[in-house]
Amino acid sequence: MNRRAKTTMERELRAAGASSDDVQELSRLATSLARLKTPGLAPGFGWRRRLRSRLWLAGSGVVSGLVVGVLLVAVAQTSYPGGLLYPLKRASETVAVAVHPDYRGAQMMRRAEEVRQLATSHRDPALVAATLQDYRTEAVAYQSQTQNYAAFKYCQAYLQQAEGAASGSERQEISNTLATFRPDEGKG
Amino acid sequence: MKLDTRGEFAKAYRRYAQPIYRFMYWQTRDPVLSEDLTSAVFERSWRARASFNGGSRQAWLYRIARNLLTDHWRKKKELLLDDIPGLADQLTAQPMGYEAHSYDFDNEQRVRQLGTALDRLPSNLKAVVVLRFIEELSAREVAEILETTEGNVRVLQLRALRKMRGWMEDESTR
Repeated sequence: MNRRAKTTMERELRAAGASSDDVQELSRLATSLARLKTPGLAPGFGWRRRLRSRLWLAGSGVVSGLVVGVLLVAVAQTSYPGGLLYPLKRASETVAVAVHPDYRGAQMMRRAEEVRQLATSHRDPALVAATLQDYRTEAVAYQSQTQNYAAFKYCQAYLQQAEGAASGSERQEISNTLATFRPDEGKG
Repeated sequence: MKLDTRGEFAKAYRRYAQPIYRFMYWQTRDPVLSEDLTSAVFERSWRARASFNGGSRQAWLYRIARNLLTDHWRKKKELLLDDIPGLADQLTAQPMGYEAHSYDFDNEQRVRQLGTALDRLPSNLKAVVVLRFIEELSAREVAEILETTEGNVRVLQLRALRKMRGWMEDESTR
């Protein structure tokens, strides 16, 4: 505080009713206040704030996206061929097999279960045939990878149920598939 | 002069961003919150620029700052101090920005007492003290910002200084 400002302040204090002693003491106090250090706005405060809010927005977007993605993948696991989320189910299986090759057995069993579901609910024969083809592909891949015939036994039960519900060429195709991938009791 | 062009507004921002930030800092003692509030002052003033009809830009911006602070305190009102862990310690500890100019113990203690006394002032008196003695604005400018008379500013500043002196004396004799 410069001398002029100090004189003005002392005059104001006197005008407001302060005694001379009061003015001296309070003037010292006011002068000390002027010397208090105040942190200043950091350079780049504007863009740092904008960056912070954009990062926050981006972070929220990523987190929301992840949550929605995880939920969709979870819901997709209950879907069947022809369903809206079915491609997501297949994509998640591809990832699972890539990460953990042992998952191929589960993938094969899922196809068998899908064949059963489609056949017993008498869905479009073309869809059943396509799913049966997918099952055969998975079964060939699995057969070349492992000697675990328990998985085939499991699939056999599903396909037998499908066979019971199907008719005509669909039934014939399921029977042929059953004959091709017959679990070998001796090796299981 | 109007504030309706980007150039004029940018000029006002460059001139008053720091003082507004310091005002916010002494009212809240929170550097990050003060940055946000300062930013909000300029956002609000940009939106309301059409309502600025000349006069003192400084007074207009400070008035927006005070309104924002009032809104801020109103929102925070329901929060009791005891609900915030460690806040009591923070209020009694040496605050940020009060670094003494030397390591002289008496000076350091005085600076700490000064900060504590400033914190204890009610909002209106604190505004007078910050604007008048830290920002070193004239009584007329402060009166314009606080929308009161110069005479009232003189009375308020005397009252605030006396209160602060009393608290500092009490603390010294403790």
